[in-house]
Amino acid sequence: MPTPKPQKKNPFEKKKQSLFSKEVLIAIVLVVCTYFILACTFGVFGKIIANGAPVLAQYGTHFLTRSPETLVVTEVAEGENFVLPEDAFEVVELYNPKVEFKNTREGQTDEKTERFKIPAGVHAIPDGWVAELESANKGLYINWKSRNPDVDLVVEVAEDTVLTFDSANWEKFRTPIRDNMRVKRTELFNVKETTHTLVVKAGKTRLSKGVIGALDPTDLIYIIQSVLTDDDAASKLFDVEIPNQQTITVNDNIFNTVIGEGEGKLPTISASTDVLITDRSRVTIAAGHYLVPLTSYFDLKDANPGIQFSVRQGKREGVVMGEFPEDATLELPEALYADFIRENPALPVEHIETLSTPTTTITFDLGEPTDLSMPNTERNQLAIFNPSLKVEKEQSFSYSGGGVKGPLIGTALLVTLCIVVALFIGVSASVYLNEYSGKGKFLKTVRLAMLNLAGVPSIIFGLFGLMLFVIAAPRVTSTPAVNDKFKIPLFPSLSEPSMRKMEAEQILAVDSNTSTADAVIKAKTIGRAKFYKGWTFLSFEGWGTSLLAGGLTLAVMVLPVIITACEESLRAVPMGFREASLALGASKWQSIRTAVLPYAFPGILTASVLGITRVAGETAPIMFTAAVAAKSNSPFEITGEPGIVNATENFFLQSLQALPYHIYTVAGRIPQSEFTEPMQYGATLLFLIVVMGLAGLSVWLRIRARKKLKW
Amino acid sequence: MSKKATNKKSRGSFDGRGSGNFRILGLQLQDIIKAFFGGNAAIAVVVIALICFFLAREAYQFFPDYRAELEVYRKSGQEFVGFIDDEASKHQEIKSLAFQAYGYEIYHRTKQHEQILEVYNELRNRSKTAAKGVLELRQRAFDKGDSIAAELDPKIKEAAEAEYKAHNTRAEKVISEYLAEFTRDDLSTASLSTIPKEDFELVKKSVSESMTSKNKEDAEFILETKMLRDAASEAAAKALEPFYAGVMEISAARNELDKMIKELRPHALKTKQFAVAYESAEARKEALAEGSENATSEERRARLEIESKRVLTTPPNYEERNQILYDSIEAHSAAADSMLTQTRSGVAKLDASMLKSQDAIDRVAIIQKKSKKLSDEINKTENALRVWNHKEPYSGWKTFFGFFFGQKWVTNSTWQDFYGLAPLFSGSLIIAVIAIVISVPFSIGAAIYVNQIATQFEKTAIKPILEFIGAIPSIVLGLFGILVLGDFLQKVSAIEWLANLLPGFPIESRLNMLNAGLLLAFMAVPTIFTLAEDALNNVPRAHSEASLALGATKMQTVLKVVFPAAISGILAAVLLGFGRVIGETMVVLLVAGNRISVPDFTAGLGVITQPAHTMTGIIAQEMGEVGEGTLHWRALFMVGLILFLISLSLNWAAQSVIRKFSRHH
Amino acid sequence: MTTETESLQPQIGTNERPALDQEKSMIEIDDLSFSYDHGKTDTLKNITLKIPGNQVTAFIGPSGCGKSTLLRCLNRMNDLVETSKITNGSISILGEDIYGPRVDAIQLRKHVGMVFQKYNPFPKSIYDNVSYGLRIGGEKNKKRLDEAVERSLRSAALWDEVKDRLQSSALGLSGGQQQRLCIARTIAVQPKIILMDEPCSALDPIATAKVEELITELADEFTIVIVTHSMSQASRVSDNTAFYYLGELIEFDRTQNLFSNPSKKQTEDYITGRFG
Repeated sequence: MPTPKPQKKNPFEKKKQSLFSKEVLIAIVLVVCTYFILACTFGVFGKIIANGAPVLAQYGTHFLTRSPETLVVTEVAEGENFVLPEDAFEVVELYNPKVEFKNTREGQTDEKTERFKIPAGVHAIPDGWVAELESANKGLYINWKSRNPDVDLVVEVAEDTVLTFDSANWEKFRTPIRDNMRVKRTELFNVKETTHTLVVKAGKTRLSKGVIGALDPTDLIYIIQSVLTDDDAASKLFDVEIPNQQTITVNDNIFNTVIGEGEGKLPTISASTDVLITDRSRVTIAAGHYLVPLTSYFDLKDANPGIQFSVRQGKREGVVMGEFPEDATLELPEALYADFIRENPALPVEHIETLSTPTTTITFDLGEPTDLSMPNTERNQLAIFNPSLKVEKEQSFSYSGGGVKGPLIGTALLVTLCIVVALFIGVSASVYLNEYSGKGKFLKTVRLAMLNLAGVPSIIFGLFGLMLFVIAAPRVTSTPAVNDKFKIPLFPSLSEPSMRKMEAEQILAVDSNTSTADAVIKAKTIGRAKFYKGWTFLSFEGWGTSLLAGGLTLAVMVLPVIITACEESLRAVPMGFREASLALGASKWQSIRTAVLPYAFPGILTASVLGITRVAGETAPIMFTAAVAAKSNSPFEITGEPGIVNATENFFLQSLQALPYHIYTVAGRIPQSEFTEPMQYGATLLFLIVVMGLAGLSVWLRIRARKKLKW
Repeated sequence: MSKKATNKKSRGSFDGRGSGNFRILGLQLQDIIKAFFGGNAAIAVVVIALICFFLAREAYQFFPDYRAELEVYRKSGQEFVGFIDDEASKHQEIKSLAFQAYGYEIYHRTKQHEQILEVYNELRNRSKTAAKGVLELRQRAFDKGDSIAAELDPKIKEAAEAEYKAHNTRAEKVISEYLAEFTRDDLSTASLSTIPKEDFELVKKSVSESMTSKNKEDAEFILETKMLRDAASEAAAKALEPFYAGVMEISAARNELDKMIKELRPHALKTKQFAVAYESAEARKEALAEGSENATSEERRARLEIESKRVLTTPPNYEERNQILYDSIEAHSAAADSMLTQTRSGVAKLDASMLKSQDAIDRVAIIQKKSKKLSDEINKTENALRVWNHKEPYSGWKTFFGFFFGQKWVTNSTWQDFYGLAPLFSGSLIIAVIAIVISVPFSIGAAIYVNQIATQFEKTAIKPILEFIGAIPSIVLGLFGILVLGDFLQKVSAIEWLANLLPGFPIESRLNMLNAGLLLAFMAVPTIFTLAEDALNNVPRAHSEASLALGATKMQTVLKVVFPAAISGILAAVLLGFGRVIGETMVVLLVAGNRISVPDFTAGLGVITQPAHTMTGIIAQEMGEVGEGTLHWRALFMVGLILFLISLSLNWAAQSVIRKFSRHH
Repeated sequence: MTTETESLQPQIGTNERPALDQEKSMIEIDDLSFSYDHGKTDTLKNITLKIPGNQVTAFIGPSGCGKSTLLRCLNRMNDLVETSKITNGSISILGEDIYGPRVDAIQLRKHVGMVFQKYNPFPKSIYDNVSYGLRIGGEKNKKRLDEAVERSLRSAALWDEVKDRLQSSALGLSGGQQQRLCIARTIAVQPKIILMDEPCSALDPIATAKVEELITELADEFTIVIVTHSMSQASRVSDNTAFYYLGELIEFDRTQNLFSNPSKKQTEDYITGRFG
């Protein structure tokens, strides 16, 4: 080896420091870029975890088992012996960790429930009570035979009062309430009433606004040549055309307004006056509460303009003839039962027994005036158990109390439906694209469509879902909506809709001979939404804001993701597997089923989890297709007519709460405050855990699938 | 059923194996299976077609309907009044700027004291809330000691006083504990956190003093500050007297024009109501007649019939009603001229040299600029009024341009709804550009780092994390923007030297385009990063080896060979990232501030700190509240259609870039 | 530096060459062992070799014998494989240990160029390809770049074919042209040594002939080490040939000697086609 000369310079020596430092500079910039993004990621996650974790820790399972409710912050004056049921107290404690509940002690109250029997048959029940009975007795559904839509009011007569009626009206008034009306004295007398018959001149004229207003309820046909607005003065004149000579009859008041000298009065040819004598009754009614039909109440008021009545709504918006096919054993809470008996004296109710459930209550003291925050349910309990509660001030925050059970279930349902549909279509489509189709134009079109579908903004899918599923999707129904896109008659309907359904959904029943077009026009003009003519239609009226519409919208959105991923995993199955299977005499489908799909399964699984991750996080597509901010019952508590068909329909066509939409509601639609923050962060963290868990699962599955699938 | 039958038969003839017939059947089955799968594959095409169909179907009626509405707007003379209104609003800008300038100047001159008082009030209110319970009790003790019973019985008075004292001590403790933990950063207004520390401490002390002293008087420090404030404000008002005179003159300049508008507006509005009533008269008449035929009671039938007959079906006399407008042109000239001269003389009095506040000086500069343009504006209006003719039909082109370039998106208005895309489009575009400008360097930098420089460990760790960002639901980021980023940006932008350095700082509104843009930049990272990394990965190793073998350094190789070779893939990544960003809904809906107006570009780059509304946001916000088939509904679908076309063309561009790229290799 | 290189040049143009081991060596490989997997197994085992300057030296051997690996050790391209490691011995070029602490691989590669098996011009213009090496070396003078490009392309016998389209993409050239362009790119930076890793394996016979011709011409100016699969190519272009088998150097000699009169049994078997 020749020894290098000592003075010789190493030709490969590191040099050019400036170049070197530029290198380092660029490298540093790149490192900073990368780690800055990482830092942002951790920042976002960290902030949400830091704020959300304490919320989840504080509320724990409460957060998962309750649906969103209004959060009420009540300023309670200091005092002693506040009572709450045990579970309600626990919730209040949970919400107010900083408040010191002094001197807490257990007690007991009995919650009494009355059990009673209503015999089979058709009974008249106010529909307020129908709702009450049904909510207290799960599974009860009272069908209607007919309904009298009169609304009842409870009129309070403070002391014995003398009332005046037309004789005809008196009978009308008295008949429905005869049972509980106590009349002290009745007296008949006569009243004179003047009417005027006017012959109105035809032609153009000018009328004042006051005259026009007075003429409104009369039969006179006139055409105003201009537009009246509220801020016009009563004396302002308007051009009016009276097309022909008319005769009208008016009362004293109107007569005095429209007839006279000067501008703006009604031009008449002649006027004659008649006097009518009517019978009146003067009745003295004892003090008390009277349940009065709404129409009679108006009569009462008209006839006695000087008297003020205090009125509240009774437990009926109408009386229905409810059908009990067999003896029904029902329950109602004690207090309600008493009202029930009192307000339905004609109902043949048999009392069976009084059940009493002991409830543990907590009694506590508050040393000083305190802000207590709690969900609305607990706030109501507080009011019930502490009738003398002194509240200084109260604030409420919508959707910020309770938990996220409803939204969580809603999201799960939406995602499940979406993924079932998307996987079914996606796997089939990818099998076709990969196994059956050649390299034809069709394939090219499909791929192009898919590529473009993947890039369409999610809000556009929302619009698409709104148009297709919410507004125009087909339904098989015997009660089609009048404003559907179009309808196709299918076959005679199997059963008539129940009376109750007719009322609730505003269905107009028409003769089966009526043409569909006529039925639509008829229903429209009298303001009904649907009609029934004994025929089943395929009606393109949409599914409304519903689980089905939302799920399918999401499915359409996630389709390209699933198809692409499935195709990839199918392509990864070696050609040899198919050939070997075919060579053994299997049919094409058999070889796909036995030699391809099983090996592609892990990939398909990964694809589906990937799809779930994507759709679970979406808000925009479900905004107008499925989601609602508030919903009182859980999606699985289906109310409405019994029967599997009805239940299925009601299940799929119900609107839902969804977690992302809930977050949108609490973040963007209600005012921000310190009381809304726990819900915001808690719901978000939970959501993030769910979605990130799914994302993690998909990554893990992908890695596992890659490891396993080596052949 | 027949399948089963044939099956049985075949089993006989093929010695129980039945393979021959089964195959025939199998083939049929195969065809069915194939058709079934094919049908599912076609769904993607069907969906695209349906999206196009629905968007187009709902949108295509938009322009004719909108044109019809605008025609009524013209015929009824509203357009005429609208011209004058626009002119007035130009003056209104000047007027409000003048008042703002005055207000800022006064505030600036009293700021030192004003801020202390603001902090004082906030701290007082907050400590009141913190010690609410005990303060309440103290109040009761006080009331007890003040009652007539106490007057009569000294014992009661004594007891009450003792109680008061006890509560007072506790209140003192609670408040001082609360205040001890309170720092300037906890203040709700970011700009207040800059008050001097010693003042802040003094304020704290004053708060606890005033809240626990019996006579509840403000502490001396606060009283002193108040006095100083009053004196300063008086002095400022005095010093600014000539300035204020100018402001008042500007303010008064429009009186005459305002009076005119006040007369003409209701007149035009009435003509419009007339026109609208006429437009729907036939339909209403028919509906009433139909209703009377189907009425349930004879009484109601008669009523409906009468009402139907009362409906007026002759058109309004536009000629006559609009004459008053034509006649007012001269009066308008006079009013506008007097407005111009008065405004000019008022503006001349606004002497910027007497101002100290930068905000006020800035505003005066804008006022001067705007007042110069005012005469152009008046001439423009004048000309528009003179050529205006209510009989001229509203052209389709004007409607078209009015939609695409219209500056107003006004809905549910009693005057007139306008559907102008410009504010929404500019909002969407600016936010997307902010996002891309921020996201691209970071994502591509990260892609280069991960692909070319990072160690194996970093690669396996960083890639999934960045891909994870893509799984964060956008609503979560929106919430983050509302709760965290908005405040953070406001706090940062209030830092003095930053505020002086950057345009648009300090940020006025917590929710703005910058906030949304930052979040969207974050959202775009995974898309751009993944695709760019792929593109870098696809550059053949041979290229970098060749470069290295020539003695290039790693960095030279990356920047001069690998990066250029991957440029088309990276471009496609950026385009797709842009598509994702412009179509994003929830973040912009929550965070962009939802102010419907074209951003004020005179603010230069500072425009990005203004709030705005976006195309996606408007759909999400308004779609749920409009009736099907209304003009508003159609307008929203039109916006959707445009959004759809934008995203399709971005997609297409990205695809063609990739195609070009793959042909190259 | 040029003067020093000149001093190393042997007398060229004479057919009578001194014996191989007496020539001044350009590259000295001393007892080199190399591993791709942190030293668990050695891919190259105890190779000692002196490669003379300004001659063409061919490495031959069956697939996987380590000839390409050794070639890539010479300009430290193996550094790119993170798990690789020199387990024993050293390589000196121009008397300097290239794995020594003072040596920068980047600088080394400027002196030891490389031509790859598959031609790999950058997706840039012809001009940019050739001038790339100089530009990254900091040369900005347009005139000097022009000169260097022309000189290199002339040396690579490509000038006449491409002079009219220097700005068009290099990817538009034929395979043989692309490979010659890669050679031109390599010689543009004036390296001392050019390593060629099966430079003709992706070319058709005519293109191969042109490249071979070029190699022999370049030997006047550069020290060339070529890995080849084809024994006929080795015999056509090289002055000296080294035969490797299973990571070991079996024989190194003047090409003529090696092919006509192999001293080892394995060499003989290989060149007569009994294995490999």
